[in-house]
Amino acid sequence: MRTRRFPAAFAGMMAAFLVWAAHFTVVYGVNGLACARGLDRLAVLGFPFVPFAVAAATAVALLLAAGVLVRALLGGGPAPHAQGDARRFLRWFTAAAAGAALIAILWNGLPALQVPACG
Amino acid sequence: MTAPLDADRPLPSVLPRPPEELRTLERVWQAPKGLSYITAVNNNIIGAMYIGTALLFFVIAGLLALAMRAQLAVPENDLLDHGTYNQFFTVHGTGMMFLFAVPVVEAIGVYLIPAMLAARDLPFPRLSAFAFWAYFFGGCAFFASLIFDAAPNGGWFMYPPLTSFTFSPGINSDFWLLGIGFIEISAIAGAIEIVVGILRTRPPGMSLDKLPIYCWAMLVMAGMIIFGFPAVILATALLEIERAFHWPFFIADLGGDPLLWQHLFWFFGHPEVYIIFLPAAGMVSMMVPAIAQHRLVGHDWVVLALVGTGFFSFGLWVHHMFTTGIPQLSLSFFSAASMAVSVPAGIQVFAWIATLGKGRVRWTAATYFVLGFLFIFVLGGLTGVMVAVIPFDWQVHDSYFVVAHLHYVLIGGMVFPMFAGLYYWWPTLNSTLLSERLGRWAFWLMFIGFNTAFFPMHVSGLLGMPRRVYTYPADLGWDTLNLVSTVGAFLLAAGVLVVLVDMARNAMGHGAPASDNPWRAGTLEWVPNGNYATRSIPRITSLYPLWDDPDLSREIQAGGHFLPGAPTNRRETIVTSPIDATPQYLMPMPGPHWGHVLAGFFTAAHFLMLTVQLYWLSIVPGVLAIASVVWWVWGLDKGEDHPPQDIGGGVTVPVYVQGPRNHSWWAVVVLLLVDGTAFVCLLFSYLFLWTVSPDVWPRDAAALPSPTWLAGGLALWGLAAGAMAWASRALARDRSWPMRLALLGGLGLLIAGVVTDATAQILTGLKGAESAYGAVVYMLVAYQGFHVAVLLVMTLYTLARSAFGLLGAARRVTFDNTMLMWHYTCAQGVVALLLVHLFPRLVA
Repeated sequence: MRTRRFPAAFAGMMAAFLVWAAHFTVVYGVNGLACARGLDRLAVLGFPFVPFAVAAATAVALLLAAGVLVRALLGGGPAPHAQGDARRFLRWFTAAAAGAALIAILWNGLPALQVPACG
Repeated sequence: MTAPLDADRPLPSVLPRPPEELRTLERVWQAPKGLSYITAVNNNIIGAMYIGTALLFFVIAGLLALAMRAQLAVPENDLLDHGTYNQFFTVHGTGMMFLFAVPVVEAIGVYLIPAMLAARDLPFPRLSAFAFWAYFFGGCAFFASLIFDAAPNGGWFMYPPLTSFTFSPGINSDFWLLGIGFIEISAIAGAIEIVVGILRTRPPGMSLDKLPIYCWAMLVMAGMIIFGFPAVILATALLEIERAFHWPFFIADLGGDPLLWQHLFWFFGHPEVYIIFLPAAGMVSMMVPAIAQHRLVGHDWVVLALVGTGFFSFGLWVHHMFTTGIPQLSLSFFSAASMAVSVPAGIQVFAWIATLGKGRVRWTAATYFVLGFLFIFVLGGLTGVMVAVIPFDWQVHDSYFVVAHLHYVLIGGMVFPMFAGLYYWWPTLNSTLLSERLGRWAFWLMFIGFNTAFFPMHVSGLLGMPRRVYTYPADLGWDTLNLVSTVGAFLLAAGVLVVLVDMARNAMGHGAPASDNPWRAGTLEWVPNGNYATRSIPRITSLYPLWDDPDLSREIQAGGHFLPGAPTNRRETIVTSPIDATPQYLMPMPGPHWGHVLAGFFTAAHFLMLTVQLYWLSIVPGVLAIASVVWWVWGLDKGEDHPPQDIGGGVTVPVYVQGPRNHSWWAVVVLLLVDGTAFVCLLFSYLFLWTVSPDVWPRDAAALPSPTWLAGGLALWGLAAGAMAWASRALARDRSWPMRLALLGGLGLLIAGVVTDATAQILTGLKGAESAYGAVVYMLVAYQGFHVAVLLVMTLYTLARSAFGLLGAARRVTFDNTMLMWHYTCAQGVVALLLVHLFPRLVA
C-alpha cells in the first residue's frame, strides 16, 4: 500500500467512530446553546426544539454509520487499500466499529426523549 | 540438544553470516562509556532509565500518601498542619498522574515497542532521550518545591478561582502550571515517537492484523495524548496568563467562567485515565497468552475495544462536573457515554478470562498480579458505573467514595499490571529472573494492603467524609474506618518495598539466570537481543511468530533474516509501509549526543526560572535550549549519501526518501494534529465564553476593527503561504537564491500578519485585562504570534542549512518540515481572523 493512501484508509477504518464523535459534539453543543439562550422554549413542526434537533442529528448519524457498515460489508471502504489478511482485518474492523457506533449513537441520543433539556 | 537449522529453508539472508558483520553491528550500536553514558539514546537504555525515574517518583508520591494516611489515622490529629496537607495531597495526585503514571507507560513503551517490532530503535531516539531528560530535571524540580514550602496546594486539578491570583498569590500554583505544563511536552514527544514507531518501523510482513496487541494499545494511547493533552496545555497557559497579566478567562465578574477550566481540564483528564489504563491493558493482553500458553481469545474484538475506548473516553469529561449546574440533558449525554465505555472494558475482561480458562495457567508472580488486577479493576469499574448515574454521583461527589473508586481504577488498572510486567519482562533487561518468592510476598502484601486501605473508603464516603480534609472530629463514625485504611496503606507500601528489595537483590547479582524465553511466549521481544536489538529483522507471518515458527528465534539470531548487519556502517532500521509493512527505505538513526541532554536541562531551567519569576534571566536557558536542539538536529538530514542497499530477500531499498513517505514528515503531521487540537480548544474557549457572557462581547460593529484590517490580515496570511509555495517550487528546481529570498520575504509577511492582527485590536482600545472577550481575542493573537516565533527559528535554521549547502531538490526534508508548519500557521491565522472579525458582527 502506498503511504499516501494511509490517511484515507485509516480515516475509513475510524469513520463510524468519527460519526459518533461528531454526533456527540452536535447534540451537546445544541443543548448547551439552547439552554444558555432560552431556545429550548422554541418549537419545530410542533415538537420541542431540543428533542427535535437531537432526534434529527441522531437519525443523520445513524444513517451515516449504517452507510459505513453496508459499504464495509460490500467490500468497500478502506479494505481495498490493503492486501491479504490485512484486507480482511480492515474490512472486519470497519464493519464492527460501525456496528458499535450505531449502538453508541442510539444510546447517546435516547436521553433526549426522556430528560428535560434544561431542567 | 538444539536441532540444527534447516539448511534448505530459504531465508532472506544466506547463512552463515560473515563474522565481521556482527562486529560492525555491535560497534555502531555500542553505548558510550563513562560520563558520556548519559548521552546514550538506545531505547533499551533510555527506556530503563525512564522506568527507573518514574518508579522513583512513584515512591516519593507514595511516601506523601503514607504521611497523609498517618495524619488521618486518628481524629483531630496534628501530625501535618492543613497547609502542609494541602501541598502533600496536591503533589501526591499530581506526581502520581503526571510524573509517574503517564511517564511510566510511555517509558515501558520506549523500552518494549522496538523489541516487539524487531526494530533497531524507535524512529527518533534523541527525541525520546530529550523527553526523558526534560522529564527527569523537571520532575526533580517539582518534587523539590516541597522542601521550600513552595509546592502547589490547589489539588491535582487546580480549579480556579482558588488557584488564580486572588486566592493563590504565591508561586505555589505556578510550580504546577509551568512545571507540569512543560512536562506535558515530554508526553507529546513520546506520543509522536510511538505513533511513527508503530506505524512505520514494523518488520516486513507485520501488517496491521499481525500487530501485537500491546502496540495497538500504545497506538490508541498515543492518539489520546495527541487529542487530549493539548486541552490541558492550553488550560495551564490560560491560567498562568490570568495569574501573570490578570486576563480574566476564569473570573466571572469580568465575563470569564471557572467552568471553562473544568471543561478544558477534564477534556484531558478523563481520557487521561484511559491513557494510563490502556497500555496496562495491552500489557495484560500480552502476558495472559504466555501465562495460559494460549492465543488471546477474541484478539480482533480486543483491538476494537481498545480503539472504541479511545473514542468513547472523549465523551465522558462532564461526568466530573455533574454538580456544577450544567443542564440535565447535557449531563445525561455524558452519563450515557460513561456507562457505554464499560462495554469495551468488559470485552477485554472477558477475553482475558476466556484465555486463562482455555489455556493451562502457569502460576508465577506475574500471574498473581494479573489476577489481582482483574479483581480490583472490575470492582473499580463497577463503582465507575455507579458514579456515572447522576443522582448517585450527586450524593457521593467529592467524598471518599470517589477516592476509593479512582484508586481502585488506577492502582488496580495500572499499578498491578505494571508490577506484573516488571516480573514478566525483567529477564529482557539482564537475562535474570526476579525472585518468585519475594514476588508472591509482594503481591499478597499489596493485594491485602490495597483492599484494606481503599475498600473502607467507600463506606467512609457514603457516611459523608469529604475529600481533601486534613482532619475530622471524633464523633462522626469515621474513626475506625480511617484507622483501618491507614493500616492497609502501610501494608501496601510494605509490598512495594519488597519489590524494591527484590530489584536491588537482583541488581547486586542475586537473580537466577533466565532462559532466552522463560515464559515460552510467542512474541518477538523474547528473541535474544543487544543494543542493536535483534541480530536480523524477521519477516512476520502471524500474531505469535515464535509459537508458529519454532526455528524463527534461532534464524533471527544467526542473521538469517533482513538487515543482518549495518550496510552503511551506521545506525539504521527498516521503514515499512503503515498497513502492509512492505519495506520502503533504510532510515539512518542518530547516535549518542550531548545536544538532547543539554536541551532537556536548559528547557527545565527555563521553565523553572519562569516559575520563580526570574523572567529576564529565563531567556538565557531558553536560548541555550534552542541552540542545543539545533546542535542535535543539525546532522540528521543526511540526504542520499549511500546508494540503495540490499537488506536481504532480494529487497533493495534507498537510504533516503522525501515527502509524505519520510518518517520526519509523519512526525511533523502528528505534531500539527497536537497543535491543531490546541487551537480548536482555544476556539472552543472563545465560543464558550461568548455562550456564558454575551454581555462582554461588542454590541455593535463600531467597537470592532474595520473590515479593512480583516482584508489586510487575510491578504498577508495568503501571501505568506504563496511565498512558501514559491520557495518550494524554487527548491524543486535547485534555485537556491530565489528560494532563500522567498523564505525571507515570507517571513516578513508572517511577522506583518501578526503585527496587523494585534494592531487592529489595539486601535479599538480593547484591553486583555478588562474582559473575557479582550482576553480571549488577544490570546488568539498571541497564539498566532507564538507560531510565527517558532517559524522564525525554523526558517532561519532552514536558511542556514541552505547556506551550508545542506539543502537542495534531492535533500529537502528539513525544508518540508518547515513548509508543513508554515502552511498550517497561515491556515490557522485565517481561521482566527475570520472568527474575531466576523463572529462578533454575526451575533451583535
